[in-house]
Amino acid sequence: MTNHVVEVKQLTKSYGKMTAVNEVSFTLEPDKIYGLLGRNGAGKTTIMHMITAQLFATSGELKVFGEEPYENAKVLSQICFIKESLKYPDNYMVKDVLELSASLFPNWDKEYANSLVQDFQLPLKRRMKKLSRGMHSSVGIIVGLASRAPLTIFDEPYLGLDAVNRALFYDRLIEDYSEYPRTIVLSTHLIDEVSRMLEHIIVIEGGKILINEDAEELRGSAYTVAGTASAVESFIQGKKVISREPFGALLTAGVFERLTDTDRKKAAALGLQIASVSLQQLVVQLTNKKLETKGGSRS
Amino acid sequence: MNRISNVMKLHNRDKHAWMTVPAGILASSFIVNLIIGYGSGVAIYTGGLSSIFIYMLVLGIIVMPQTFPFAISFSVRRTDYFIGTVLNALLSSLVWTLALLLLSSIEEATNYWGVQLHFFSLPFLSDGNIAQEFLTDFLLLLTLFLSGLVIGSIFRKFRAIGLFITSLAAMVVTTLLVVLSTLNDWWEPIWNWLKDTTAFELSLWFLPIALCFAIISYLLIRRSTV
Repeated sequence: MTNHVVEVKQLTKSYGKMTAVNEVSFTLEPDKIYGLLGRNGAGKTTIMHMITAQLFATSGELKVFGEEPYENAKVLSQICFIKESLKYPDNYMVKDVLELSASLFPNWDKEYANSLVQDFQLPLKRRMKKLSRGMHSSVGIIVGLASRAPLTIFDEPYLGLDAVNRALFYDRLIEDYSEYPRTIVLSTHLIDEVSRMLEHIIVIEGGKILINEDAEELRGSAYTVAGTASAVESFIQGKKVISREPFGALLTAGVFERLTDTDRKKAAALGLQIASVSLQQLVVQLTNKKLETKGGSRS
Repeated sequence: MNRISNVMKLHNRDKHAWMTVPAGILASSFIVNLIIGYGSGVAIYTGGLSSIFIYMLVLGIIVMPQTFPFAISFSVRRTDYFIGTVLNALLSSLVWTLALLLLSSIEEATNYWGVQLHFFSLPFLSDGNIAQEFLTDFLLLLTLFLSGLVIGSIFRKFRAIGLFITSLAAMVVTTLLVVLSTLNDWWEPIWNWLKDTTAFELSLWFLPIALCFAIISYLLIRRSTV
């Protein structure tokens, strides 16, 4: 008996001839913060919808807390899935959403929810329909945090939310997570903002898993090298190059490899500058161009 | 049971859809008729009561798009959603039936509001004893809600195209029945049967229909996605 929170094997979702998710396999472990990253339409939301039994898989195996999630009250009550496109009943006020959440989510912390309402300065008696986009997102964030669900999923939760409130969200998330550890999945485009929180990264591209790696490992697994074009070209011979940005006679290349001491010395000898790649750059480059494997051959 | 009562809570938080709007529609229809009654001085038999019945159909249609994606997103099981929704409709139909019966007896006691306005107590519909009147109203309200729910569920599962095909199929079947009735001279027996049947007897026919609608919506909701 494994204690995976989510176990996905060969999960596929297709709409007619279009395959949105293609034989994806991964596991999520308890009490970790995951980043589910990828471009629009990569299949992130579809995967999360299947995990929460809101969409049905075409094929493959899916276990959440060791069981099938579909119509499984025991499993579903442990999940809180907050997505950007969440639609509330037209007549609902903010307090309706919060009070109902208190009965729907077993771990709901009412006092914590109230303090978050203060933090985000939400008007309790305003109708959901009348809220600004940012306030609308705050309600979802409050539900996601205060529900303290063992599996909490945030899918682009902060549309329209300003930088101050986003920072507030990250702070509260980290604080509450350290006090009440749980499995959190964050799906976002603002990778740099969340990268310090993420412990494990899954990158989806074209319905497939591109990267499934520990965040620390991943951060150290790439670097950029800059200098004169000829020197850079000779340096990147035989390496996994993920980007190539010429600027006049200069060239900056991204290398998807761990930087070894030999390489560092070699770069120094060639007069090249080595810089680290942020998670965001890495994901952008990996999903922008398919991995150009092996060597300096021009694409 | 707790999960089902949560779904009912989910619905009842929307007091406008379940209480204020239908009450408002019925009240405004009644007041307009009452004013006309005062002005005209003749006995009025009005169909204003139908507004509440039509509203139940509309409520059945809108309840799915309004609350299903929300409920499913908030970790509610589809089965619990269905049972909770139908129970809430049952409860709502019950409350409205009692209100209509009460208003109907007030109407009779006040000599039709003093102006011969027949709004709640109508010939045919209010014939029969109190139990029959109760069941007539109750079954009619519930069946209308459930037919709305079927429409909402078809839309949820098969989207606009499914609704279009269903309406097309319904039209074809109706047309065939009309043609058959005309060819075989069934119209006269049909009218005679309708004439001889009381509202209560007719409403009993709604029972199997309501049951069918409930089963169909349940099966559709079980397979519906967000």
